[in-house]
Order: sequence, then C-alpha cells, then structure tokens
Amino acid sequence: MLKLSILRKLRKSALVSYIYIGPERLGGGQLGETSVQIDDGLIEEMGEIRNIMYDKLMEEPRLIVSLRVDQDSEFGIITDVQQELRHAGTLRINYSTRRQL
Amino acid sequence: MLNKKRSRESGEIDGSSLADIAFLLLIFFLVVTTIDIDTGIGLVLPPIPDDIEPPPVRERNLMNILVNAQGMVLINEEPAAIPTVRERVREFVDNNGADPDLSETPDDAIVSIKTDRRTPYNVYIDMLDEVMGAYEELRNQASMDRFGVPFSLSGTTTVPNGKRYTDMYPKTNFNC
Repeated sequence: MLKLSILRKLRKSALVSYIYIGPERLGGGQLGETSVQIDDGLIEEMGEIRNIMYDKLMEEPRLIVSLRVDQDSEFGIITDVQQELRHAGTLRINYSTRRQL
Repeated sequence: MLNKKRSRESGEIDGSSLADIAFLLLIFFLVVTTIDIDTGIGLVLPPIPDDIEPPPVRERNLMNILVNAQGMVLINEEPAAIPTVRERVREFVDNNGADPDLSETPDDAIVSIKTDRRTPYNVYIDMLDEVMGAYEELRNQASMDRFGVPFSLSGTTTVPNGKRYTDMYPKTNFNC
C-alpha cells in the first residue's frame, strides 16, 4: 500500500519522462518511417537517447520512463530503445497502455 | 407618434436564465471530461552487466517464452496460446519443488521472454500482461490466505515471517 501511494504521488509530479515510438506523421495524413521521440524532440540517431536520458536521470534520480508505443510497431525498435535506456541507467520503465483490464 | 411607440416596444432579452445555462454547461463538461490517468505495465530493466558472468540458472527454474514475428508463442519449445500463459506461469512459479520440471521456489523462478525483432508490439504487451497478471494473482492469493483481503487492499505489505509479498513472488523476468 505504501509503495503504491508513493508511486501514485510520483506520477503526479514531473518524474515521468515520455518516449514516443511510432510512425512519423507526414503531411496529408500520411505515415512515414517509424521513429522515436523524447518529449518534444525527434531522435535522429539511437545513440542520442543514451545521453539525453542520462542527463535527465542526473537531474531526477527517481525518473520513470514511460514508453508510449504505437500498437502496430514492431518490437525490434523497442529493444533498441531499451538497450539505450539500460546504458543510460534509466531502468524503471512503464509501457503505457490504454486498454481496460 | 406611431414610430415612437414601436421603438418603445422592443424590450431587453431576459438574462436571468443565463446563469442556469452556464451552470448546466459546467456540469455537463464536468461529467463528460475524463482525466487522463497513466496506466501501463511497469517493470525494471536489468542493468548492463559489468563483464560478470550471470550466475548459472538451473533449467527447471527457467521458463522460456518465445514470441516470433507472426506473434506465435512457444513456451519451453512447445507452442502455446496467449490466454493459457497466465495459468502456465502460475503453475511454474508456485510449484515449490513439487514437480521436478517446474521451479524449485518462487524466489528462483525466472520467466524469460524473448522476442523476434519483428514481433508485433501488441502481442508482446498481451504476453507481458499475462505474466504480470499471474504474479498479481499469486500475491493476491497469498494475501487472501493470510489476511482475507487482496494484496492491493491490505494495509500492509509484510507477511508474518517478515517477507513482503513482492519478495515472496519476486518478478524476475527479463527479455533479450
């Protein structure tokens, strides 16, 4: 119970950092290549994630990374992102889902 | 004369119902709005190993789940359907040494989920949901047996011998 309430409190504050993975939205409703976005910036190269997340972790050691992944994605790119997160040391992650239990 | 009378007739619009309408709108939006709550499956990634060999794991303590590019599941080299995974994981973790092919203790039990690069994400999430659900059920059951309330509702996380439910059934699954 205690743990849960702490977790809920964390969720409210700015401890959560979002990583979006999904097809890029092009003009005219078209979808492009699958890409990775952290907060507001698109990631050009996978290696950047490590540095960005490491900086975030230094600012907030209790960081939770929430992965918001498009339903139709393939798992390979998520594995790549996870590898980067492990290198950065941000190990607490959360797969965001909208489904009802 | 006639003109003057007509201009006097045009009265004001009655504004007294404005407050009612505004109030009604306010209530409508209060009811309709959903607050965006983050839900999801949380887990902790294993840290990058520092060139230390991982400790050897006995085969019976390891449950291998493979998901291929078509979203089909193999458990210990045998095909399985996703809805059956929960039951399989429960049996495997809560075996306590009874069946020689399943885990020795919940502490030792390791569930390994491996995926192909082209595995669909939603299949993986369904998979993970089943595994996490199995652990949740086991913890709830342990809590029900001792206190008669589910794990999520019990005011304490410790059981009489000082172990936490989360330690009784530690989540030790990883994926590569």
